[in-house]
Amino acid sequence: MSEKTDIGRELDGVLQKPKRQLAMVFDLNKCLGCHTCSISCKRQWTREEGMDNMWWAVVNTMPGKGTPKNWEGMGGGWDEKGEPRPSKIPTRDEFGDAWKFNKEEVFHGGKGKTVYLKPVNTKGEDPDWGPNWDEDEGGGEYPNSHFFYLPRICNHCTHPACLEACPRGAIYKRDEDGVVLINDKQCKGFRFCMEACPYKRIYYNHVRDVTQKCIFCFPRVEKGVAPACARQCPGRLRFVGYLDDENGPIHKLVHKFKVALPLHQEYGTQPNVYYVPPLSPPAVDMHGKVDPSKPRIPTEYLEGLFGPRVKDVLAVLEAEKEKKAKGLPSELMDTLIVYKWPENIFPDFVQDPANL
Amino acid sequence: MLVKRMDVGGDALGDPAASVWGTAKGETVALMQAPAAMQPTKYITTKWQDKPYGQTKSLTVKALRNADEIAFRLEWQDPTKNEQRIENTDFPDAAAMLFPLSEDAPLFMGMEGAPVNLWYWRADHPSRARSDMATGIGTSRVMDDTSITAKAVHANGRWTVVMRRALRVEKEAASAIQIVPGQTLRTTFAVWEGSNLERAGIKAFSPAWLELQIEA
Ligand code: SF4
Ligand code: SF4
Repeated sequence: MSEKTDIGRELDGVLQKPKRQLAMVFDLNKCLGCHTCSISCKRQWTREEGMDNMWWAVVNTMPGKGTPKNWEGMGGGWDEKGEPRPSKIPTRDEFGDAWKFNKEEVFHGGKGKTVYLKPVNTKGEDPDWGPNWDEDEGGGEYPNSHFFYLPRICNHCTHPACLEACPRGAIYKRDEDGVVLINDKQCKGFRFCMEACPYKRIYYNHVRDVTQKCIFCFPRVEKGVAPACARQCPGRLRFVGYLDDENGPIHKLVHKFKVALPLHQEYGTQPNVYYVPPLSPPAVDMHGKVDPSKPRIPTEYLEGLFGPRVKDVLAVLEAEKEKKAKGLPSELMDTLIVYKWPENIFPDFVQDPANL
Repeated sequence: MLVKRMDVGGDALGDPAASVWGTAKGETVALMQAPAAMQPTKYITTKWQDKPYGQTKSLTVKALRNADEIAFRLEWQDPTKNEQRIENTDFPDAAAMLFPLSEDAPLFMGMEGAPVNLWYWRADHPSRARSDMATGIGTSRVMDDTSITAKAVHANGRWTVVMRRALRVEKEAASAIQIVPGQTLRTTFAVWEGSNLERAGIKAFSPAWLELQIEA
């Protein structure tokens, strides 16, 4: 992938290219699956009416069905020829919906000892899916069962299927930083964007009849404050910065060391969220014998998510880790370790929100 | 079509079941599928080009005025009543009328410099219609300051919807049609079938203008 293709694209013969592109890199080797990111986003942005079912930032256990359920099989984005791939609108149940609990009955109805808290979905039914329903289940058979966490937000794509599907021109990509936003005054709730986004990172607000999604915390970013998910992350794995900033960690991880890969690049939207793929311990047999040639997370599985370069990336990571273990210098490892927080992880966004 | 003046109260005009509608002569307007090739985005064209939509074949329209109001009564066949918006895939049934605000406004949503005014009724808000202005496909903006009241009945597999408004409007005057007794004006129609996830340009529309003579 050349640098050119991830910051510009042709549309109707015109090169579309924001002046700069904000991006994130998630180092999956550091994610704890604590959901602090999802919660801080939720508290910050999705507390209004009609937003109770929205999780602009989610963390999925992989292998797993994800949010919405089975989103990877829903289509959307672009095919190899650059034509739109038809898709569907994910349902509330597939997202997981917002549950209601019988709190009144349990806490105030005098039945606290006999009735337990029980969730129902909007339809009044027992929920059978949620944003983290298959959390920590993972894949593989004992003794080689495995899983890792995959945080997901809107990728603020360079070739955003959502934007290009909207008949209202309600979605736009900001020139100054490439952030993809929905103008809710223009949006009429037609939901073509929800269909066309192959990552299914757009929600429908039933109260306001508009769609809403991750805004890359643009009001924070404009004040030099990192997005809430990144600032709050205790694993310190969410790097934030501009792709063209050669001294920043984003450029280093994506372009210099080439260890950060987009998720499902084949969907053709040119995501601006990148992932450092997870390493795994070697496989073992029933007797506990280790086979160092086989990683516990099958490499083919990771290739299915992050493309054919996974093998090379894992090899680079292993080699650099080795170096570091031997006391040799490794700029790549130093970048991933983040010695100085926050300046090493989002150098342009180190303002403390508490001081604003 | 003649829009007769009947000196009855606004409530009678606004009621699809009122006997006064028996005196109005209706017109049947043929509808056709809005072409997939004319959809404003490639995604929509690709998704819908081989799918059936806009299958509502016709709509019957009647119109009446009294001293200061006008009412349009639209009736069309729709065996499935879709009025809720709970699931992400719920799209309520809808209908719209389009009035050119200038001589040369194209029937397909107007154009730059030649706007159209849309009266848009949707089954999830059965008792009002929205007033929008558009200057081309994909440009409609909600004006909504002109109060168009509505009343809708779904019975025997048909929707009957009356949209009613003052002849002249003050607020948003520049973006809404002014109706002058004695005048002739044009209109056209669209119908969306909610059960088929129809919305935006995925609809049935009338490819010709209907002339209305407003009785003086
Ligand atoms: S991830 Fe989806 S919603 Fe976000 S910019 Fe890309 S296509 Fe649009
Ligand atoms: S806050 Fe950080 S460590 Fe916790 S789940 Fe989110 S990305 Fe992973």
